[in-house]
Amino acid sequence: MTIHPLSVKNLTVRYGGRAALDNFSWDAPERGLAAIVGPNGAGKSSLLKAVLGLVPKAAGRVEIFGKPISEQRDLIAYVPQRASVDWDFPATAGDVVAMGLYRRIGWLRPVRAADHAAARKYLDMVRLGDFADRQIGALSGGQQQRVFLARALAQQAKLFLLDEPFAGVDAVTEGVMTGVFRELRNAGSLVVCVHHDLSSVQEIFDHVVLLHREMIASGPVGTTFTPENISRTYGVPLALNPGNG
Amino acid sequence: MAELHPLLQVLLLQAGYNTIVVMLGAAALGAATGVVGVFAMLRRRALVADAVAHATLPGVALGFILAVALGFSGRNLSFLLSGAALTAVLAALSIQWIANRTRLTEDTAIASVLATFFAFGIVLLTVIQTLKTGGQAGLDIYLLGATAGMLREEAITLALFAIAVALIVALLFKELTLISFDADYARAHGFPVRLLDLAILALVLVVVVIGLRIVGLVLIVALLITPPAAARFWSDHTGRMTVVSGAIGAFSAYFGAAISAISPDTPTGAVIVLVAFFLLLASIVFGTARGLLVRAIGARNLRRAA
Amino acid sequence: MISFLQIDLPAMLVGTLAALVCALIGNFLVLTRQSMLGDAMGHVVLPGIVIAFVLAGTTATWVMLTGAFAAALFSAMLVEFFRRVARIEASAALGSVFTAMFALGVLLLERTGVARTTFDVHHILFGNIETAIWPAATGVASLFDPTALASLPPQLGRLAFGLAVVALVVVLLFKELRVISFDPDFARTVGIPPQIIGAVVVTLAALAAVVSLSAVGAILLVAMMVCPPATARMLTDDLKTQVWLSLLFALASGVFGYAIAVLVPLAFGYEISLGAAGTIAVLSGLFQLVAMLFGLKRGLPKLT
Repeated sequence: MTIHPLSVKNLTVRYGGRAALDNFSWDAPERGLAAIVGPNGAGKSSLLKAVLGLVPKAAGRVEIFGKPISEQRDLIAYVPQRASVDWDFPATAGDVVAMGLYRRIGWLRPVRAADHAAARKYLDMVRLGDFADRQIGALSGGQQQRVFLARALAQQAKLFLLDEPFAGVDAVTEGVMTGVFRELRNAGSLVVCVHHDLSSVQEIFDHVVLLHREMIASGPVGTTFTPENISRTYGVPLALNPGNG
Repeated sequence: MAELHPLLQVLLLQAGYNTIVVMLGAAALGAATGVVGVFAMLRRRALVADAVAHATLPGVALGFILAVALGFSGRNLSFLLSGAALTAVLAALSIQWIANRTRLTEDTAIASVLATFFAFGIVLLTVIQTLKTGGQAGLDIYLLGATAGMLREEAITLALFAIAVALIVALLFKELTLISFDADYARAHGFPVRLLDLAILALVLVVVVIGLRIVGLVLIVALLITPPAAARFWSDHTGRMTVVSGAIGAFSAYFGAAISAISPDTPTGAVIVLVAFFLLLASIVFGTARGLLVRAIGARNLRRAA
Repeated sequence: MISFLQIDLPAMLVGTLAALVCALIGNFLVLTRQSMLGDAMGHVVLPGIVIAFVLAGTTATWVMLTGAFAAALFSAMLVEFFRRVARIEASAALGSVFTAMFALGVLLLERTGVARTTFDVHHILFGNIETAIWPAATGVASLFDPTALASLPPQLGRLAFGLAVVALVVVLLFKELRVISFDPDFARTVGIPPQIIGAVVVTLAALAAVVSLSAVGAILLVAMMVCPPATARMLTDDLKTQVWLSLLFALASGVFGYAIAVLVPLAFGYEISLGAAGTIAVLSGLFQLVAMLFGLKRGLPKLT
């Protein structure tokens, strides 16, 4: 039996009385790039947040490489939505990337010059090496997203969970991010993205989860991302032909 | 040598030994509030701190009543400050309860807790004024602060607390920065966000309580808000900003204590707050990281380049 | 009876009118998440009042109002400058300005010697309802005697004026205030400018602060602006009902709070005294506590 990087069983998440996610189960592939797609309010972010323990689970179980997440924090890297932080915060791009090293540095120890040098290396990987001393609010939206990605890279995780990383980013950023994702796949990692843009699913990802409060379909993009499954997910027949995507 | 202006004499530590100790104690307090204030501000707890500060009043009054009832002096600092800490904690819990459990929003929770606790303190103070015990006049100084009559031991005690607070912030520095910037990220990676939030609140509580004697409970929140706001203009790094904020807080408190040393009927808290506010105005204009001047120069260079 | 007319009636009226005017406008502060503005108002008008008094040498109503309004306006502009130009975070901008203004007020009080003659910083902090007296009252007949009525404490006139203005504007703009309070984005789409209505709310809050402050103090001000509307908020979802309920709780706090301040010392043989502004504010907080417990029991949903 294979150990999945991420295994979700019968997960239910409720806000108030309403189920945002209902009896959802998914065994993620061992490696690769997986997209979670579905309409607004389908529970995509709720799924991610419940996996990470940011919102309480009404029912169900989540395992990371066969164990509860509390024992596997070092194996995951989470990239929240860009809108979730205050970009006026007194921190430079280098400072933010160094945050990815905090767990390894450990309690009560300061961030040293060597850590900043390491952070610089990860910024280079997303082609922002020259921006290390720039205040984060002075960066463009795409650059901010790449800083978040660099911070995740610094964690040297095996499982990457990203919330809408492609939302509102420029073409350069999109190119850099897909390049980094492919390198991660080649290195044996699993990258899971909440994704909103149906037209780019086939181009970027190799696995897809179609979600609308409950699991609609999951599997390789080629066989799963079909017009039938998409219209079942979105509730309307879409005038979109993924075959040409 | 020409006669120095009295203020200059005091500032240059040429006053009496007791005054010097009090001024240095005030400076330590200002540094501690400036350092803790950075995280109170970044974590959006500044106005909670205001409510907590006002909520110390009933505690001070209850401490006084209890001390008198047990035969101690009403000015016994341990009674007053334990009482202050107790009602402050109660206020913090009340705010959290109202904001989390009822339909009322956090701003309403803060304002109503602040007003109700402070009002209860006032009722107790009016009761105390009619008690025939004496010493109640001493309670006034906890409202707007005073350095007059401050003992050397008191100043040393609060300086020690202030140093301890700064040390704790230094040890937890990167974790506090992390939860202030991105709490969800921190939680997802196993950092105890709730515990760290509690630590910020506890540190706020400590500086508020030790600040009562010099700055007073009405205005102590300014020392948690104004120095960090000013420091933000001098650096884009949380670390450097924290050092600058501590320095601004220390200077404001030192200067304010010096002024009140030469004119004893000046409310110390008010002077300290105004010094800090002038430093904020100066920082807005001259700050090297995001002051108006460097931003104007930056914009002009950008236009020239274009 | 005469002592009731001379001492208790005017004081109770001052406390109750202040409670009503503050609660009325407070409804809209609570609904627009600006409760701390009530606190800020109580602080920023102090230097305005002191400067106006020093310049004009009188505590006449229009002098106080002008000074306080100038200070409130100046503070509002300073906060906006801090937020928009200097880009300081909103609550830090508010917090640094209102503490500095209050500190300036305290310092001016002490340095100009006003503190020892006319104003006492304690009255600003604690409230001073008890000094509202009506020595001209000689019996029930005085209530109908124009000359006696003319010597009612001046705060009463100020408060009645403030209450009338606030009530008038709230009635006239009720529809707009309702929309702004619940859904500012929707307001914009139907052509109601949120900024202008917002400015009206802040101006009325400043007016309420000005007419109340010198009589009842800063703390009763905040308590009244926030507690009665919050109490009502726990019991109803309808804005009109909420406003009426808040006025009812303000009235009850004013009357019973004052009664407690008078009766408790009476029961203890004047061994102790209670500040009425404090008891009124504490009572309003207790009402809120009961309403919160009651509202939770009823399972009123948390609003987002």
